[in-house]
Amino acid sequence: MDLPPAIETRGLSKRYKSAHALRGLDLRVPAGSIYGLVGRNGAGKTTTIKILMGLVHPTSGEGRVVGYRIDDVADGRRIRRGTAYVGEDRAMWPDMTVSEVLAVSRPFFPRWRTDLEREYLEAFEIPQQKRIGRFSKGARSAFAMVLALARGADLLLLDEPTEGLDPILVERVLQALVRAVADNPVLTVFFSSHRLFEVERIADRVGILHDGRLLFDDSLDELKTAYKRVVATFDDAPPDALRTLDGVRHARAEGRMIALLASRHVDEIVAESRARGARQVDAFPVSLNDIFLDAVGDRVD
Amino acid sequence: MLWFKWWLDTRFWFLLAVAMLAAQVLALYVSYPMDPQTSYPAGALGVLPAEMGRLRGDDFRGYVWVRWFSTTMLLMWPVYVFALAGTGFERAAGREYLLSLPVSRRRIIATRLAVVLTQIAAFTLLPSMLLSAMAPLRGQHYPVADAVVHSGILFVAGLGLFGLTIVLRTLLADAAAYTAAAALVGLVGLFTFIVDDFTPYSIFRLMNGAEYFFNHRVPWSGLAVSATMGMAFIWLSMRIVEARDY
Repeated sequence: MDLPPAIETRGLSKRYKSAHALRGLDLRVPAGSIYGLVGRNGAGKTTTIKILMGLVHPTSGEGRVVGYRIDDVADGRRIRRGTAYVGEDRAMWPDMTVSEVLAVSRPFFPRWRTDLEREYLEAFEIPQQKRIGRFSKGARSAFAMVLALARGADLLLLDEPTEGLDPILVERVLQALVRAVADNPVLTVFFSSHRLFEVERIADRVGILHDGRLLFDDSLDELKTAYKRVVATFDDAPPDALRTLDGVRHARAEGRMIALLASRHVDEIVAESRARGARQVDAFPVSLNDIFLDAVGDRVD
Repeated sequence: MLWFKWWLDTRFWFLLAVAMLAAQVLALYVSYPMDPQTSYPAGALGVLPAEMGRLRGDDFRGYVWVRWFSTTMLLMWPVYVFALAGTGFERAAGREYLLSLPVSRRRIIATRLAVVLTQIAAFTLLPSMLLSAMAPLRGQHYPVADAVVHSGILFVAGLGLFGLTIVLRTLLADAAAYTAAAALVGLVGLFTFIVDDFTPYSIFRLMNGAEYFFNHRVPWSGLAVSATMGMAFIWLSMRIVEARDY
């Protein structure tokens, strides 16, 4: 089945007075994927999600979500009918109880899943008798996830969905997202996170956003296949020429050993290291964290 | 179901308004009859001194008008209108979830306005009807028609105030909006009470229905101006909300 992309943007920009939140974002998220958007604070993740949801108007550019234009009011309603959203604001409606929020929400969504609603209220340990205003931060986040998962949506737009959750609930939420995609082949999950291990665990595509620009947009497998850490050991000090080889993103030398972070041409780098007298050369897989730190230029090692 | 959300949001202030105003109707009857020479009010908002002189010792209709429509309602009604007009959309908590529902911002606000205006109409009319219903208990009669017309005048004349609160609430932060609206109304009220030359042109004089009470004429032009201002403020507020980033 050849589905149109769940999200597609071209040249999407947003400027707040003198500050650029997004600079020409070109994004294509295939339907049925789990897409993790990562970036530092202020990179533009929240702005991206809010623009897609119609909460923020873009300064320029265009986009479509589940096939509808983001800059059209009528299309905006259609987008929101088929999209679930968990934003920064988890306060919900603080004066209301869980039952009241659900009673108001259900009629808006013809495909509302009461079975999932019940299941996740229990699984996420939502205190149903309390007013939302008396919930802990974690309970608010968990309840926001229940509302998103029960909508019967084709797209989940989630801004830091596990924010405030304890490790047990984080695990349950991640499992719920994976299960939701497994149960519905057209469901797309687009989420932002600071927790790279979460992205690495459930995402099949990753975007790295930095300073309003998308630095990477690729499948996680391809990203991790392309990136390797090459460690070469020499009899003497490693030759400086290795640092400037094509594909080397970052190098760190320690005694007779040098570690090279490579984004491409790994085989050539290994061969060149051997040609320059390396006694032993190994190429290791790297984590998303390594790739992220390299991409945003914040090299802590 | 948006109306249900807005009802849940606003019910406290609505029920409080109905309960408090009903209690004040009871208080009005408990304090009746009074000696008009010693305990009649010395003045009322939007009533000229000469008119107060004419009302002193007048009939029960005059007593109700001065005590209820020119005092209690003019002082308390704006408080509940401020509270209800300010409740809802511009509260940051839960706004993102509200905007994620598949309805336009215009419909969200229009539904809220419909719910709140219905509540305001109800707490304007119901206590005034109670006045008519309870009058026989004191051996008096207060015409239902007067209660309805005075309530209608107060409601329409107050639309300007309602719209002003909505637009201030949209433009300013919570405390600043309420402070600005209350200060403006307080200033106009003070001016109305102190400066006799200003009184005939005051919004309070329009709201208490003096023209209808003294001359049995509905002040259509004044009501049209207030309603138009109210609608203009609401329209402005909607445009701001539609264009705003949240």
